[in-house]
Amino acid sequence: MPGPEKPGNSLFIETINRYVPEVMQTMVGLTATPGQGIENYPQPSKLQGVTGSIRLSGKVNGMVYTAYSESLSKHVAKKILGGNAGDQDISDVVAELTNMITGNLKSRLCDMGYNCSLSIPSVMRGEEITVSAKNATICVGNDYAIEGSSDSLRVLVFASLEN
Amino acid sequence: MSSPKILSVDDSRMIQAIIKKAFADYDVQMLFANNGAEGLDVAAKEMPDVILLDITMPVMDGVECLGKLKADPSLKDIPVVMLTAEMGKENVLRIVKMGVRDYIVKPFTEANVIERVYRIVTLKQKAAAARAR
Repeated sequence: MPGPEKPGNSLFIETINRYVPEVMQTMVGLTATPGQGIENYPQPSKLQGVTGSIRLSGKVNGMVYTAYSESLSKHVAKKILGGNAGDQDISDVVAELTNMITGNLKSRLCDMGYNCSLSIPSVMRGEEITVSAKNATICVGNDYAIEGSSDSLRVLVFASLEN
Repeated sequence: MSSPKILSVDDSRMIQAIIKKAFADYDVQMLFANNGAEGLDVAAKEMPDVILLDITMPVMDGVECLGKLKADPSLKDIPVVMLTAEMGKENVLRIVKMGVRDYIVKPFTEANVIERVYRIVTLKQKAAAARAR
């Protein structure tokens, strides 16, 4: 009997399109409207601003990136924490939101038999952050229009799946 | 009856801020710790009525902290509610087997946390009242 279908690019896009808006709405109170999504996202890719990342290890190996412009990251942090959110607060918010999005993605993968563990999130800042994953077979990304901001949140997933 | 003590153990300032805001209008005493090791210290000192425990934390994660709480005769009966971004069947089973009273999946609403905590606190108070009769 054939085993369960191997998750492909479209499942990853569908999954982040489900969880990014849910996390943003529930935790931040802002709507996040998905763009069209890109399968076979080009590598290496350049991100800028404040980028959260988490490593997936196990039957799925890869990285999840969430990239905010400086202005968008302040907008989101201020909505949650109020007042003047400092750099540390912004990093903390980006890390936690990345953790929630990736945790939900992981749960879906685990339920499909692709168990993996997550690293602690890390946050990078810069004008030109280059990201790539050499052997990734899953390369997807999407931009999310965030309520009250002219900038979009970009989410990328680069991963490879064990047979 | 004194205000219930709620200990939130989480390395995220964002989560701590949301928990603090959620209970701001309630008659509770909020305690905070940034990781599992700090959480154990605060729990031993303050004997909270309920602990909200994150899983992924530096220094000592929530799973290790839960194991130590359950192994300590003086702390093992404090109800623990796990906060997790991973609601996969395997993860949920693992934490339930370790003796958590309840778990909350991230993202969560303030109302969700308040409801879970109050359910535990109310049950605890009722049990204490019954014992006192």
